[in-house]
Amino acid sequence: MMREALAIAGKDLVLEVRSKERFAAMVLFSFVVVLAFRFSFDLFGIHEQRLAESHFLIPPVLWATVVFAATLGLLTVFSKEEENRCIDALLLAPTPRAALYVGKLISSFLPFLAIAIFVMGFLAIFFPYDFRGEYLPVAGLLVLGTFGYAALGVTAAAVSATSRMREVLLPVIMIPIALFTIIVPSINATSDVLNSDAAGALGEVRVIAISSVIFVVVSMLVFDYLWEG
Amino acid sequence: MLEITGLSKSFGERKALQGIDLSVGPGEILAFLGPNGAGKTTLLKVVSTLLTPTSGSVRIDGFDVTEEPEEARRRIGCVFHDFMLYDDLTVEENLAFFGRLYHARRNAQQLDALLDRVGLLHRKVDRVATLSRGMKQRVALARAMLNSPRLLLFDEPFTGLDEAAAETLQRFLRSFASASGSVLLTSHDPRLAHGLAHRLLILSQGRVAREVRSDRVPLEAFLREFRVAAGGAA
Repeated sequence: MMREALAIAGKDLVLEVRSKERFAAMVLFSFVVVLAFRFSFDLFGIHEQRLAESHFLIPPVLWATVVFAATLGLLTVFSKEEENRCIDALLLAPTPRAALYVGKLISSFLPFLAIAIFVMGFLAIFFPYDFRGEYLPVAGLLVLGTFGYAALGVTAAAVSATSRMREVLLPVIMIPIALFTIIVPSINATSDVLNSDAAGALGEVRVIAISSVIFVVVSMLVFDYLWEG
Repeated sequence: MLEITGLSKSFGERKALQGIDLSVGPGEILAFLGPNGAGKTTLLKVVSTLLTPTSGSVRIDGFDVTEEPEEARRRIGCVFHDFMLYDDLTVEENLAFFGRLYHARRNAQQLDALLDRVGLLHRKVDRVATLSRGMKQRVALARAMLNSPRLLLFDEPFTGLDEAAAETLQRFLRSFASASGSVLLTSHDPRLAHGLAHRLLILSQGRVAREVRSDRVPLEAFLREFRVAAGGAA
């Protein structure tokens, strides 16, 4: 199954590199969101000096931007498959349909992670904040958080793929589930890292990791049934 | 090769297929004809495992499409109305990708031979988006042949093809059948279907309204039967 999943992921990444549509939209969107946060802080009188010391402000900005951009990316996870009904050709493969899930998970997770790194860069440009030098632990949290979000998001995208109201349905399905399993624990874990609270961060990491494993296992079990007609 | 028993398929209250029984043996070409909405495409989709039967059974080489769908899929090749090809990949990239997916990995020479068989070797590095409809159909046919299927499912194969392309396709299907392959196709065109298929089934409102052996019923007589059985829609 892994061989087929890697073939699907590889094909998706080749198509993404060729068109750059989804990735460019996500980069541009995250840039605008970071910029909007920066101006809003200015408007509320939160100035450079306070921002530089605000360990509680940066994590929500970081994760809100990553989640917004990733949700935008999830809307198009199956769009290439809808052209010419390529999804049918994938479903005709003599392999468990969980391979399709794993392939899509890989090809969604990698761009999301790249976007998260871009967001870190935008934050470095627009906010006078140095993450207290904790780049590696924050990067680790970005890997875990974006993986968990992609693990849930690919299934939500599959559920909403055939709906005409996909743009509305996807966040409606996703955000309530992701809120307390991925998003809030990721924000808390990032805050804990920046406040040097290793024990607190570890607890939140556990929540994200367990949630991610549950999303992957459940998705692999139900993915066959999502496509039944 | 293919055994269908008591097959029905409903979408909510609407019955798309009702009590279909048929079998297709090796080397046989069977065509489904009928007006739009008669259930032709639904039938192909059930046989291909893309749709689940509401009742009845479909077995391919003895494997039930509901209970052992992966084994059934190994034995079929499908060319549907949408060609199921990635426009932004080249011809050979499409085939290489689906080869990996269908457990039919082929080396460069084998892919070239397959493309040569469908007459598209000279376009192998071109993106599918740049091909004509007839060429795309040939790429789809090459993809369907990747896993050396025993049963070829073809939805409206002659739609949008010029005369020469239709003749080439007919030759291909005959040669596939003569090598003990089976073909199940749908068509709007009773003349073309009569010239190609061994057996013709006219579907009307999800039921088999008439079954005809093309070698026993001359074309003109068949066309008359077709008009009656298809409810005058032809």
